[in-house]
Amino acid sequence: MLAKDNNCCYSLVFKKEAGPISVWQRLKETLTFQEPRGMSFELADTGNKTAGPGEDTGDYKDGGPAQTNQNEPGASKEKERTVKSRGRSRGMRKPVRPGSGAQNHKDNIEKGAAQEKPEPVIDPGKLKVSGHLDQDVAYLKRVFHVPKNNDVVFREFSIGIDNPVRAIAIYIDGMTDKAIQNDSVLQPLMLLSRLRLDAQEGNLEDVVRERLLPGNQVEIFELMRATIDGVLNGDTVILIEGVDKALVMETKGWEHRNVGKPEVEMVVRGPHEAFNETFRVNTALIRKAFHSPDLVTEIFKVGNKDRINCGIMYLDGVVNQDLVQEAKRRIEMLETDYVGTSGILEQFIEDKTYALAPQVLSTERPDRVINHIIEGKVAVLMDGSPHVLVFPMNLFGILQSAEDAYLRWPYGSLLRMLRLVGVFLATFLPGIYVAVNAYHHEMIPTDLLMAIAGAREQVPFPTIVEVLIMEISFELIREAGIRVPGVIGPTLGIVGALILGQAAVAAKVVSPILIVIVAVTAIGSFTVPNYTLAFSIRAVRFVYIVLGGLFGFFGIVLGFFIHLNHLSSLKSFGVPFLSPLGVKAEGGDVIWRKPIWQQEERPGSIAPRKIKSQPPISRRWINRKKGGNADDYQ
Amino acid sequence: MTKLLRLPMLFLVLLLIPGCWGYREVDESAFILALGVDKGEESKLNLTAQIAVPKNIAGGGDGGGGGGAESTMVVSVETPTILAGLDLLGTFVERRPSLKHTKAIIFSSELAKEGMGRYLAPLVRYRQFRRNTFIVISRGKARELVKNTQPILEDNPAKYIELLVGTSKYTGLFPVSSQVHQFYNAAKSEARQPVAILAALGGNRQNDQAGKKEGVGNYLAGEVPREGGNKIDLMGAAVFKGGRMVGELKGDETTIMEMIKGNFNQGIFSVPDPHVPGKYILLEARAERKPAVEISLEEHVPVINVEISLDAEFLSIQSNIAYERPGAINEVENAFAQILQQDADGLLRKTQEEFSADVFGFGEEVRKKFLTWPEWEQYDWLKVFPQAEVNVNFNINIRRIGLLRESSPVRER
Repeated sequence: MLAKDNNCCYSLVFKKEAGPISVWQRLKETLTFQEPRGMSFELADTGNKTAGPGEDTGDYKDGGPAQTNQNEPGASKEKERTVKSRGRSRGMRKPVRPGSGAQNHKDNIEKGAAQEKPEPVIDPGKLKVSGHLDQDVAYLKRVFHVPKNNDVVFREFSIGIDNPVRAIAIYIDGMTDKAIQNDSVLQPLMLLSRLRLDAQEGNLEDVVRERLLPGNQVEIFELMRATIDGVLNGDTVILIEGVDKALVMETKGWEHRNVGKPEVEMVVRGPHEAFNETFRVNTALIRKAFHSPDLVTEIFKVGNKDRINCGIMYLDGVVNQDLVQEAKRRIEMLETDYVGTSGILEQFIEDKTYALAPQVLSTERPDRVINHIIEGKVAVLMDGSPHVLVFPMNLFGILQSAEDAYLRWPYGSLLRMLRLVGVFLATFLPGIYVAVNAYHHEMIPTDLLMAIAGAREQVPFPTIVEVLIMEISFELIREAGIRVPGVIGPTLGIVGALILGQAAVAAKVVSPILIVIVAVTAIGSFTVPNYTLAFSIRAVRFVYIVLGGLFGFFGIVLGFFIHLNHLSSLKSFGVPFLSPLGVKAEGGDVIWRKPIWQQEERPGSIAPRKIKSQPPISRRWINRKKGGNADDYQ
Repeated sequence: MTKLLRLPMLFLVLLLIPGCWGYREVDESAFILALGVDKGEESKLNLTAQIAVPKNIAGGGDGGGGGGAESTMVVSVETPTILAGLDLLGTFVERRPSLKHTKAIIFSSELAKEGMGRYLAPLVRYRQFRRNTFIVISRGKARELVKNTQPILEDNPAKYIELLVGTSKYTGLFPVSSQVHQFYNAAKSEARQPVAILAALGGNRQNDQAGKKEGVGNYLAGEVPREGGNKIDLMGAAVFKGGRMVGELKGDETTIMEMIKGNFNQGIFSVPDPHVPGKYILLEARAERKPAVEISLEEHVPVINVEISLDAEFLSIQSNIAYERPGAINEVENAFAQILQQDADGLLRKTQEEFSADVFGFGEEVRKKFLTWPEWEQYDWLKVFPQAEVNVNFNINIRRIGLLRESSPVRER
């Protein structure tokens, strides 16, 4: 039986702490195995029942509990819709690759069966709220390890309607807004509920939600999973005696950093706002600057242990739906205990994990995210992460800075040219210096050659060792500069500047010309606007130094050839990493920016649904007769 | 694992096959800046190398530098060939001699007259040797010339050579196109003959012939009446026929040759005043366009018409006559054309009758008149050239009058 139903078991034994054996036993009790596909669905209604035949492509792997309850309080109406459609799309599922995950899980099951844990907690994704308050509270206390764990508060009270009902509010201390809790949860339920209640209109939970709880978001869930997620996310969960549903009220109110200035991506002109660690603040930063009903935020949970909110934002009608599907697919199918920040998520969802270059843009600037969303790209926000991921991204997009677009086109283009020069210097300069010094003396003007040779006269190391010493020292300084505690920061400057700059030369360890080379390289690498790309360049630089030292220009050219091949083989969500090269130009804004009125097209390489972003004549006062009709471009 | 390793290994092999193992630090090479070649006494050649001493050239670094320290080291060896001589240098120069930065290769005229093509041509094949190295013919011993390549203004003899040779751009007194590449191409050509810069130790002022004919450059190298300064003069050209030197051209003649070849850039000329004998009008002339060369092979001898257009500017008018006025300008233009014409006639007589060498490269124009290569080869241009009728026509336009609108005489009271 087990062997036959790999995919089914897979979805069931998703939550490891729930104990595979318990699920297995429960299954045995409640189900008769006839149709493997149906068996997970009968246990709990997770929306999967609606699986229709032949719907969608069914690319989704069985998400199991990770996907079952999307209806946590933060979700909007839109989200419910997507949940449904996702449920449907799961109707046709592909078998899980044999020998991979499913196999492991099968093994787990067998192991679990052998071990026999004493008292496993039932998977909350399968368990509904029972309606018996004591039973539910006991279960939740066990889930939250309550005698040991002091964070979770179980506040018992009774709802003061005509015949008082026992109820309990569950929340985590410190994550909730106490004022809201007192004024909008406890007070109305305990005191104001004496207000005349006309009739018994519907169920108690509906009465409570519709008449008694004045919170801005109150939702009703049946599954324990949702109540647990609610508690963990700073909501207040209210369980009522005799009601087999949980009310989850939005009371989030933890301490968080204010919206600050960008620390890494600074600009002179342009907004000075950066994302912070709070998911909803970040979405709001985007929404407040980009008012469009077409801007869609879909919210997921990622991670098995720590289920973190993760939202993808895109511009419906412009974005390529395949891209959205792919993004959702990758994020939803992710199976890991903890995805703490967008940096970790990036590593999970990028196309080539062994690649040197980042294939996803990570930015802290809302305006930059908006610019990319308008172009038809997808942004991924994560709770707790002040960086937003944007993809698909190409090399030239990563090399752009937000400011390029805010400046007039000649200045913006000039900045980009400068940056390209910076990238070139940071990548190749030390390597070329080594190659020239070691093999190609004829390339240097005689005067410079004499200066180099004269300066090197008393240096005891070969050029390549000299360069490696300095480059590694510089990398050390840079790394130390980030890690050094602020109080002793100035010391580092003195040590770095004096010892490595001056003293190394005075001690004849390195030649003064090399200091110039290293300095220019460093400055070049600081012009790279993207932190992760700068890392890639730093790493590649050493390869070029070694190649230059071993094989001269031949080595550098060979290395560049391989490097270029590698880069051109990269893809960011299916879009070639060097995409505007060799294919149709991208809207006049790749390296050389055209004037803003000529940038009529969105980047074609990401295949947006709407390619034009403005009509041929966007400045309509120029020539009303010929163009300027806003409908022209649609 | 093996599959993972296979590709890197393949690359490694690829990298190792070419055998690029010439790693040599800049401070492990002895850079030869100038190479002198004389006729040898014991062996065929006497090779003189001027080797840079970088720490003295770079100077300043230690503060104590500069001063008396020699910026170069001059060494000589007797050797059958130039490259063998470089190897021989290795026996007493600790750094490996490198020709990568050689600026000039100096042959003594003695050797050049015997024929130096056979020493030069093999060098072109050697990868270290730069084709833009200047070829200089020394009127004395090349060794002396190399020894005296000790500039006063520069620390770096290489810069000295480059700058000194570069002066022909604004004087035209010695040929520009005297790099190995050009020399070699001309030497193996059937359409023209090579020239090289003529140099000599100068500054001794022992020159009686000077002043016979008025002109800035009526001298050969070493004859320039001067005193002090660097010891080397560059003036005039050595004319070759094939790989052998056949004669010398004076500075003025070289200027005209450069004009005809289209290499002339600018230069200063003194034109005798048409009205006041003994006084001069100084003009700075620039090439207005490339010379127009017309060739006709209709007659029994080839007829070559060259039209040279010069654009001149008044520098000074000693007689204070208002030549800058319309009408009067023509007089100066004609006088200028006349003296150029005289020089040109002299030059043509020399090259055709005395040297019978087509240093102008007319042959390359003549070659265009032939349809097939055998026809051209049979024509044997270099033999025909001495009989050719060459007419050089100067078209002078004085377009600027300098900073004075009209001269006002200085009162001599």
